[in-house]
Amino acid sequence: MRNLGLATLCWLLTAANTGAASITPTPQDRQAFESGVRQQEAVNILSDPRGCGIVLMRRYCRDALRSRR
Amino acid sequence: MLSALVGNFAVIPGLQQFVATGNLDTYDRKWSDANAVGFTDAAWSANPRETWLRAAGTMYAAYYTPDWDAYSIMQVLVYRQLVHFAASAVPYDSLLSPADLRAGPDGVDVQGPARISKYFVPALGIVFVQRAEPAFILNPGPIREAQLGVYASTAQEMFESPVVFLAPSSRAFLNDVAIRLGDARLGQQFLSASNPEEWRAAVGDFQNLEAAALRALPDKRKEAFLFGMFAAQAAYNAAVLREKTAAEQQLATLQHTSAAVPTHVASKLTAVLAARGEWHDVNSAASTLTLEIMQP
Repeated sequence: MRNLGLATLCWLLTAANTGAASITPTPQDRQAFESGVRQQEAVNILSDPRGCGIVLMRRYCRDALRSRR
Repeated sequence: MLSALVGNFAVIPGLQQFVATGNLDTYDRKWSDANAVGFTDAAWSANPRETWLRAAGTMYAAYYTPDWDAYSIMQVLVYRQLVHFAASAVPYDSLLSPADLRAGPDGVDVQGPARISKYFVPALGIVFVQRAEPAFILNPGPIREAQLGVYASTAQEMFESPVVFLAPSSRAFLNDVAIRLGDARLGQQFLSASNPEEWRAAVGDFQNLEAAALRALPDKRKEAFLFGMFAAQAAYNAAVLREKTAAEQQLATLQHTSAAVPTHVASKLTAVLAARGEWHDVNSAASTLTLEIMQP
């Protein structure tokens, strides 16, 4: 039974990844997805802001924090 | 001499705590829970496709945070919405399993986000490949090793904060740095590490790799590498750690190695030295110096 569950999970992972590899997002879709990523990153940053002390991460931090709606 | 210059790699508080405790570090889970990103009914009605993609983006980034399994309970509503509005997001709806789509939003129980994310988030990562942050770009010429030093320091600073190094864009950056230092296998470890033990092994390997790369450089290029490394560290220390002994060591090393970098870079060191003792000013001047190193 357990093996059957594992086999089903493997099938699901394979199926999802096979489908994913064939999808090419449009620029608009990518922009919407990235917008969501930035929103969550703003939450992440504010919950532990030390990463924004890294010089090369400061622009990234500013972009994420500006994305809050 | 080398270990004295580059510091004690074995002591990285953020990573150590991540490994020891399972990952909590200073990450403020309560704050994060209270500020979980949500999407209004009005947004779903007005533009379901765009909202679906934004929601998928937030779930993607949320998955790569410390203690996701506990955090995922906060995301039941968003996962229900992702299932409910999946038909608006063709072809991305195919990233959800047929069984979950058939079960509908009511099939997403409190364990739903943790379960679904295990196949959904990796699939999103294949479709929306994340770029390295920061971008890894080395310029030719005498500034090259100093830039590599800044990147190496950036990697070390990332290891202080699990919320930073777990992020896919940071993993992509760490992969680039590892490849440039000569270990593509380690780069893959950064991309795939999924538990504290794997991170501990990857970080240990990275530190050995960095030390070996530094040892292999001729003296002048080694000094340029150290200049870049300590410029970035001086800024980070002044902004976050504020350790006086480390600051003195960083400033002394910058003075000692400044002859190895071009004049337009070395000239920015004067302001850093003049700011000694004032954390805000050191941070500002050392940041300017670091960004001068990174100029194309």
